[in-house]
Amino acid sequence: MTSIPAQPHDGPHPTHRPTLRPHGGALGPGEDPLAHDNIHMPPGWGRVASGLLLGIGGVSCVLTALYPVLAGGSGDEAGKAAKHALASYHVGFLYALGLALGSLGLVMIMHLVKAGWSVTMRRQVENVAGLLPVALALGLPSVIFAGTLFKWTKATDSLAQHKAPFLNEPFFYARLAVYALLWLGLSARLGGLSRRQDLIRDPELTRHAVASSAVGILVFALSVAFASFDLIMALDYHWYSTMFGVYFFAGNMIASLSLWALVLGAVRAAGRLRGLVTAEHSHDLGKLMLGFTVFWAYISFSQYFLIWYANIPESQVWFMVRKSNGWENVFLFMAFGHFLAPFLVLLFRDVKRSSVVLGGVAAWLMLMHALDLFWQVRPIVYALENTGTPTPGKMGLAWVDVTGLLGPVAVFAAAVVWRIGRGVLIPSGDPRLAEAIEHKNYV
Amino acid sequence: MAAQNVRYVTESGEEVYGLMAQFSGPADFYHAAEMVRDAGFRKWDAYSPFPVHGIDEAMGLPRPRLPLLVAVVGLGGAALGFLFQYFVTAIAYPMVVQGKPYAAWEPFIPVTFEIGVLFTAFTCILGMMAFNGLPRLHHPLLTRERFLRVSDDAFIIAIEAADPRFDAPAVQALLTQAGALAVEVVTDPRPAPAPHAPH
Repeated sequence: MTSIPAQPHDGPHPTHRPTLRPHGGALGPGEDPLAHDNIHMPPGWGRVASGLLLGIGGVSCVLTALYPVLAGGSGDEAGKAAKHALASYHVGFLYALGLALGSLGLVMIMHLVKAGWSVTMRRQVENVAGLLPVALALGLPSVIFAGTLFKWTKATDSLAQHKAPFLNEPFFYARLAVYALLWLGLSARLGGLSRRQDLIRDPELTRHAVASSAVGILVFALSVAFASFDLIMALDYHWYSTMFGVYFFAGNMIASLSLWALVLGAVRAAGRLRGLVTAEHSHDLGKLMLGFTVFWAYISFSQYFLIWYANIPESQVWFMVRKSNGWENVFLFMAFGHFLAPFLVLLFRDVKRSSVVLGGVAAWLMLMHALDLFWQVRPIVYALENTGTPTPGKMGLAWVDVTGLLGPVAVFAAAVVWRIGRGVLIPSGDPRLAEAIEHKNYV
Repeated sequence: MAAQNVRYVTESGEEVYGLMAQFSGPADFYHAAEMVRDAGFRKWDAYSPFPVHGIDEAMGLPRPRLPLLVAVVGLGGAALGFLFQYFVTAIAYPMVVQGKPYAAWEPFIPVTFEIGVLFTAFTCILGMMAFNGLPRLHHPLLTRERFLRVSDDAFIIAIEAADPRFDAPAVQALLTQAGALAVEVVTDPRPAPAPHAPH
C-alpha cells in the first residue's frame, strides 16, 4: 500500500500535459489539496444551523410528547392519541437510526472492496455512522413505551402464543441491547481506526479496518435484519416477510447515500475539499444512488408481488392495511416518486456530476424514504384492532405526524452538522488518498 | 490545405488510405493524439494494445450518442411490453386467473422489466456495432505488417486521406514532430475507381 504518484502520463513532452476537462471545484495551479484550510471547515461553520436544527428538533419532540394532552379526548380516544404520537415519533427515530446504520454499512463496504476512489469522501460517512449513540438515544421513547407501540406485548391470541418464545418482553429488550452494543462497537472501531490513522499515518490500520469490516458486515447484515423485524415488522406481529430485512437495508442505503451527497454538497459549497472531492466523485456517488433506487424498487416490489399473488390472509394483512383508507395513494405515489422519477433523472450523466443537482435529487430521495417509513409504521394506529382483523379505519393525519418525524430527525441533523464542523474533513492518513485525488470516470 | 475532392494515389496507381505512425508507448501516443486533435483533423483514429485511459479526451472525441438511443429504445421496449400484456389480458382475451382483476398491473411488471432489459441489451450491442461501422471484413490498415503489432506492443495513429485537412507532407511532419518511430503510407489494395483526379 504505497502511495501512487500524482502524474499518470509521464511522457517526453512536458509542454503537452494532458488537457483534461476541468474538474468541478478544481484547485488553482500550485495549490496543495491537503492545505489545512481545504480540509477543515471555517471556524464556527454550521453553528447557527446546528443550533437552529436542535431547537426545531427539541420543540418538535416536546410538542409530540404533549400531543395526547393537546388533542384532548378521554379513555379510548386518549389512548389512540398517545399511540398516534408514539408511532409518529417511531418513524422519526427509525429514520435517524437508518441514516446511521446505512452509513455504517457504507463504511464497511468501502473497506471490504478496498474502494480507493471514495477515500477523500469517507470521513463524512464515518461521521454519520459515529452518531449511532445519538440515534440510539433517540430510540429510548419507543423502547420505554414499547407496551403502547407494540401490540404483541398485550396480545393473547393463538398466533401471539405461538410466537411468544421470540416475541416476549425480556428477550425483546435483550435483543435490542445486543444490536445496540454490536453497532456501537463496529462504528467506534472503524471510526477510531480512521481517526488514529490521521495521527500516526500507519497504512497497517487500513488492513485492520478491512479485517474488522469482513467480520462486521456479517454481524451488521444479521443484526440490521433482526432489528427491522423487531422494530417494524413486529408492529403487525401477525405478519411476516422473509425479505423485510433487505427492504429495510435498501431504504437505509438510499437515505444514507443521499445524506452523504447533501453533506458533501454543503462542504463543497463552503469552498472546502477543492481538488479532493470533484465532479468525478459526485458522478460515482450518483451511480450508487441510481443503483440503490433500483435495488429498493426491486426488493419492495418483490416483497409485495409474492404476497399479492399468494393472497394468503396472514401474509396479506400488512398490505390490506397499507392499501386501503387512503394509504393506497401513498403506495402508488412511492412507485413513481421513490423509484421511477429519481431513476429517470439519475440516468443523466450531468445530473450525477453536479453536486447541486445531485443534492436536489438526494433531498427528494430523503423525503421519499421518510414517506416509505411513514407508510410502514403509521397505519398501525387507526387500522387495526387487537384482534388483527382489518377494520374500517382512516389515515387520521394530524400535525403530530410532522412533529413526530421532525423531532428525532432534526436533532440527528443538528448532530450531523455539528460533526462536520469538527475535525479534519478527510481521513488524512489513508494510504490511498492519492488514488482518490486522481480518481476519474473514463466513460 | 487540400480540397475535399482530391484523391491521393501512389506511383503504382494504388489508392492512398492515409498515413500511419507508430509510437513507442502510451505517453507518446497520448500526446501525439492531442497534437493531431489540436491540428484539427476529423478522419483519424488511434489504435493501442490496451485501453489508454483518457485517450478519448486526448483525441477530442465527442460524448457518444449511444446512451440516449439505448435509453429511448429501452424505455420504449418496456412500455411496449406493458401495453402488449395489457392488451392481451384486459382487452383481446380477458380471462380470470386466480381471481385477480383482468388489468392488474402487478403480473405485468416482471415481463415489462425483462423486455426493457432485452431491448436495452440489443440496442447497446447493435447500436455500438452500427456506430462503429461493424461488421467490417476488411480494413486497409490490416495490409500493413507494422499495424498487426497493434494487438501486441504497437501504438498507432492513422490519419485518413479523406480528411479535408489531409496534406501528405504536412501530416508526415506533424506525426514525426509528435515523436513517431516510423510513418508509413497505407494504401487501399482494392482497385481504385477511374478516372483518377490529378495530383
